[in-house]
Amino acid sequence: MNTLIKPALRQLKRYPVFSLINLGGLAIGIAASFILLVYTQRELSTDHHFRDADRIARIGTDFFQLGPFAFSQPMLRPLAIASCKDVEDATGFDTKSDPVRTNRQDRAFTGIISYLIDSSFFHVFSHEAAAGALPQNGLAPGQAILSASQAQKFFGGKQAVGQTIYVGKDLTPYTVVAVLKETFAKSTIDPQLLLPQPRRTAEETSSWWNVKTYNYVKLKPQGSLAGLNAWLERLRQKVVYPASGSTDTYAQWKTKGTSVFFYTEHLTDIYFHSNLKFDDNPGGNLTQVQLLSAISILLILLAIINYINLVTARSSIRAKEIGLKKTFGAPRRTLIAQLLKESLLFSTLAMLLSCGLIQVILFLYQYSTGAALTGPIPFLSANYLWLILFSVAIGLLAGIYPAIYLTGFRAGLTVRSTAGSGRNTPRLRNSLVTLQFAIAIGLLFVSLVVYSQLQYMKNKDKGFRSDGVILLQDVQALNNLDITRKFQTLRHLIDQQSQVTSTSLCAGAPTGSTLMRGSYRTAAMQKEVLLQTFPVDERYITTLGLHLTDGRNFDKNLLSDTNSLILNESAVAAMGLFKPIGALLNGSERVIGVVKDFNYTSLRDKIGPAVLRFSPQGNSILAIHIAGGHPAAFLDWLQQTEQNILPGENLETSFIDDNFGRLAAKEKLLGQAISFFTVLAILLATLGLIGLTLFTIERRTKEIGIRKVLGAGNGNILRLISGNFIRLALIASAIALPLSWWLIHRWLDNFAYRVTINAGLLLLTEGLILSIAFIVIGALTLRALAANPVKNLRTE
Amino acid sequence: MIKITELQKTYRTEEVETIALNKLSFEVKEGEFVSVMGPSGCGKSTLLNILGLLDDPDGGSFLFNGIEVAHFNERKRADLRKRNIGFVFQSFNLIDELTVFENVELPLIYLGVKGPERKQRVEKVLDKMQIMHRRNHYPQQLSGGQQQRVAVARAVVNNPKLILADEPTGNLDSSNGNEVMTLLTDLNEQGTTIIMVTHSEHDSRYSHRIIRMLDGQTVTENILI
Repeated sequence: MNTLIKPALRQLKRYPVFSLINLGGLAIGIAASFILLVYTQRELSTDHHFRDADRIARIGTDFFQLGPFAFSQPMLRPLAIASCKDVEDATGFDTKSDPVRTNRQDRAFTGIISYLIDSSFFHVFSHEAAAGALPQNGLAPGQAILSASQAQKFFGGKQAVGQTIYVGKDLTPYTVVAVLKETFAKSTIDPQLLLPQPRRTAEETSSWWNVKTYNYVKLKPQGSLAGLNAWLERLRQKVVYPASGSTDTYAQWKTKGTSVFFYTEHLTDIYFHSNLKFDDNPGGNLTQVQLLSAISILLILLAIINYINLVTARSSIRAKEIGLKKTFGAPRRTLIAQLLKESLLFSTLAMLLSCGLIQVILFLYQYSTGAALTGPIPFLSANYLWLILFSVAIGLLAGIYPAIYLTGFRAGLTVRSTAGSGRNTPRLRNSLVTLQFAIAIGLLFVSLVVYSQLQYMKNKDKGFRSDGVILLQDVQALNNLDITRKFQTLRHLIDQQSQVTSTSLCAGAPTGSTLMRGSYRTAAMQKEVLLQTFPVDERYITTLGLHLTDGRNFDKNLLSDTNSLILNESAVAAMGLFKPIGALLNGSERVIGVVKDFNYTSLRDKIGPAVLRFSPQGNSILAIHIAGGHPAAFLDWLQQTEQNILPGENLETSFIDDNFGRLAAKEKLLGQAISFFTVLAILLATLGLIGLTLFTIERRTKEIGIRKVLGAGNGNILRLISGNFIRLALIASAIALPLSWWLIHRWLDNFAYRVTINAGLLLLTEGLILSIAFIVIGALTLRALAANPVKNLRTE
Repeated sequence: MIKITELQKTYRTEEVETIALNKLSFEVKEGEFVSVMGPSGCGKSTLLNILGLLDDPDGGSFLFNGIEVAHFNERKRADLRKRNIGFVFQSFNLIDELTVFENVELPLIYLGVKGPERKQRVEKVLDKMQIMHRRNHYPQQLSGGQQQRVAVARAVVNNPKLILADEPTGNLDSSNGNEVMTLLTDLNEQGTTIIMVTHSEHDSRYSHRIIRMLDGQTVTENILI
């Protein structure tokens, strides 16, 4: 071992720059691809950590073509437990978002989603307690369980178990009995607060059109999804159909839109494959995970290429040593083993370095993007066992070619002369450099396109004013007359603010998640259609900056306008209205205006038809448009005024563009991750280029000297050194650009509204890569020239 | 052609200051063949580097064809060098990656000579040096004597007025050495000035004059004719 470590360490000391580039590159490669590996593995195993996860399934439902919904009827649970032979147990939980206080007088914590659980929740979803004991058969009234992060948020470092929290506007007290253990695993079942499910109302236990419960069943070991589906079908026929009171036969009823449908899906499929509405969790994106795992492979490939290139490039130095050993009788096998051990030692060193780098990269990622890619990777977890195996594999993979290459020289030849510095630049090295350039170019191009698409989505005219609009949520919850009056005072004060240009009371902003469908038909239509509907007041169009293209706005002074509608262009098309103004829908509702199409879902989807319905009363959202660029000052004022007028109430405020941003959150994560890791990839490729250029200059010092003596200028030398690299970069572009163009087009196809890739982006990619290459090579060559290579001529 | 007066060059490292040339003065006339001799470390190579405009002196005067070049900048020196001076080294200093033809062609490329003329001139000089049949070989495929002939061919291809030879036979056996010395003598007879650094008394006899150096200074000058 001594004979291995000592020479290796001496090599490190003797060639510090090479060693540092090599070691640093390998460590960055290992760290970055390890992070991406952990990320993708965590994404792909979402929900797999629950005990018997493969036996858990969710039941969704649909009726009136409103869904399909991720939640379903509360009464499915008792029915499934009682009569489905495939089901071992079932749980159903409702979710709600209530303000939570730790003290009656304190300000409330808002935005907390609580799960109202029944006695089977922990039978289906295995959890562990970090503090207290989990009541395996459900919570008793007045008991609550907190997630570790919420416990930390509510009570800081204090013991949470035994404390009281006050939930909702009526300040219902609950005693915390346990804190859930935080796991690194990702889950779609991610409660922040668990409360006991109140007794179901008669309506909840009898109506098939009352849906709000997320129903999960645990199948028996011998049970199956097919068995569950068969049971649901029997349930439709024997229970739901009779309850519907339909005069149709079952065969007619079961295919109609007014029927009730059930959808089942495995828990482990939900994260990536579920398309159900009102999913509690936004879900994952498989394309994104695939892209990032591809990047992870490319990063490690770059690091391995660097290693192989730098080791074989220095073969002339090592070849002498190997040749001597051969001359003294060392068999090739021993020498290969020696070089492999060296590379393993190297990758182990790199791995140790990468342990620190992982934290640095995670920190830099969070610092530069403002979001965490994964939670902190728990130390001493199975992940790190992977890291060790990973490093060993890299050590072997990176070492095998140099080992075979170096030990392949004939002994006599290498001892006498300088093999490896002959006239043939090894073809393999050129291919590897080309591959490296191709990876860097491809990644850069892809990340530029993703960036442009994100910018496009951010800046695209969505048909409404997306900046400077603040939404004040839940003003409808103030159903007390006194508070309503106070709220009117608040609105009056808001309207008087000089910054405020307009306010509107509405039931939904274009970026909200609320689904409001109205059914509409013209006299000419045989069947009604369901269209997204926004109940709004007369100031909605002005406040949100919608563009009226035809007709007029609502008028609160016209009594007839209570039966008026304004359609967007898509709705006009969907209804087949040739002359929309004045058209009668549903017999009595008159179309008085048409607005330009506006986007109310993600830009992935094509703009859908939408209807504005005049409804000046009972709306729950106040939209405020402020002019000028000081929303912070306005928000401060708003909070202050709200506290003075409505003390103790917490009105939730948000910006409309933030809401739209949330719809594009998945794309944003992809954009951030791709840009970040592309920068790392380019850094890796640059390190490799620095190493190779230094090597090339070192190897060609004599030649540079000769050429200088013969009259070559610095420009000639620069061309000489950079020529080959630039040629390889151009070949790499010819391969990488069309390939990445094709790949990124497939991703762009997911968007209804997308950027067009123009030649500018291609040129930018090419320009950036060539500039980096030229700067690196140029700087190093000029540095070498400044040292006057002519002086070396005599020592050669 | 060359007149140096009180030329000085000092090399400094952190610890040691080495005087390589100590107020060295001498003159070389056009058409002369001069040998410079002396023990290792006496400043021969430094002198050759300065004469070849590869390095600049710290003090003194260096007239080349009557022009003071001691303080020329790198660009001017490079320009003067490629038009007027040819080099022959002990270790040949051929570029391994280039063929014989390409090695000899190099100075003409840097002089900006056009392709067809280059070809003609290279072929002419290769013919003269009797290595035309090796034109497409790489240096490693040639014997030492052949390599040095290529080096001489490269040194004369742009018709320099001055050839600086740094122990041109140092790496050659006596028969190849003699061949190279004959080549240099021929060139000299055709009018090229030659300054040769050598350790070999035998080689120095080919020249007209020997300058002997010690510790950066001229000790004696022997006229051989």
